[in-house]
Amino acid sequence: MSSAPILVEPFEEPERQREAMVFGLWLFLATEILFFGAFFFLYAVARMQDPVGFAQGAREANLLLGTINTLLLMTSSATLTVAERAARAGWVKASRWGIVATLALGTAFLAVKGVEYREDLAEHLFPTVRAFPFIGVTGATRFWSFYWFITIVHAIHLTIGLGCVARLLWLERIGTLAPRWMVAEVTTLYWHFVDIVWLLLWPLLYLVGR
Amino acid sequence: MSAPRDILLGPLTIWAGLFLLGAASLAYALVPGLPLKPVAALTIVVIQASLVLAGFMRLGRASALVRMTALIGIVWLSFLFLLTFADLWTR
Repeated sequence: MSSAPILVEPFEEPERQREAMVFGLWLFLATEILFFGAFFFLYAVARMQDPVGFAQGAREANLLLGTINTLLLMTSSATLTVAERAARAGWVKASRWGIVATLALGTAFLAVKGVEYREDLAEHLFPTVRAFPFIGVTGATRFWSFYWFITIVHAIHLTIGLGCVARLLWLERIGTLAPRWMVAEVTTLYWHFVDIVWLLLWPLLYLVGR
Repeated sequence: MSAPRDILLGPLTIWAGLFLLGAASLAYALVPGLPLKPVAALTIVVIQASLVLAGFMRLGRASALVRMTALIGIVWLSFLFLLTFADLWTR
């Protein structure tokens, strides 16, 4: 069964504390929407200005690894949702497994990304190297600049998310996850946002020019 | 109190929807000669994002204040896109 939520100052009612936490997190996410949105905007302009060169560069992106990562991340969103809802219901054991699965899937995402980066570098797909295969092709150069920048920024966000999810595991270890289910809820919101960003990136990076 | 259906079945259903939409997006992109591929990909991704927002993040059940906060980032971003592309496309 669920236990009474732990309240912090200045809140006297669980519902008010929850509303404040969710509101605060969404306020942060609104700034994140603008942050990532500016880069998607950059993408749109670059693609519009040289669509052929852009697609030429994008065809070199590793579709298989990008798709595997999409699957990993959307699955991790499901496991973390299960963990959060289980914590709220007081199902601590189910919650623990959901958190562990999310950590494993998130780490697997970063590992696959690392393999992909290694392959990209082996093929000189980095705009500033001399052997870059698209020297002089504006669209392709912009695509690969965007690819490196946005995937690294996303990976940083995901790493922060992993830290937050690991904290949930620690809360479970010390036995306070169930009364702190609101922390699980806001952590989950952040994780889903990082997932949505990747869902947007997948077609923009891997399905262009196919 | 959350029922087992809400804890397990709900997230699994959303996950299945995301997976099927992703598969549809991939299939459409890989079949040669199909029209409007970027439009199809973006339409599917908007549906996927909506599924995550409504199903996983439960934005539909959130208070008006939270929904407005979520919307405001998208509104300001749409202004950025609208104003810039209005300029670029009318030059």
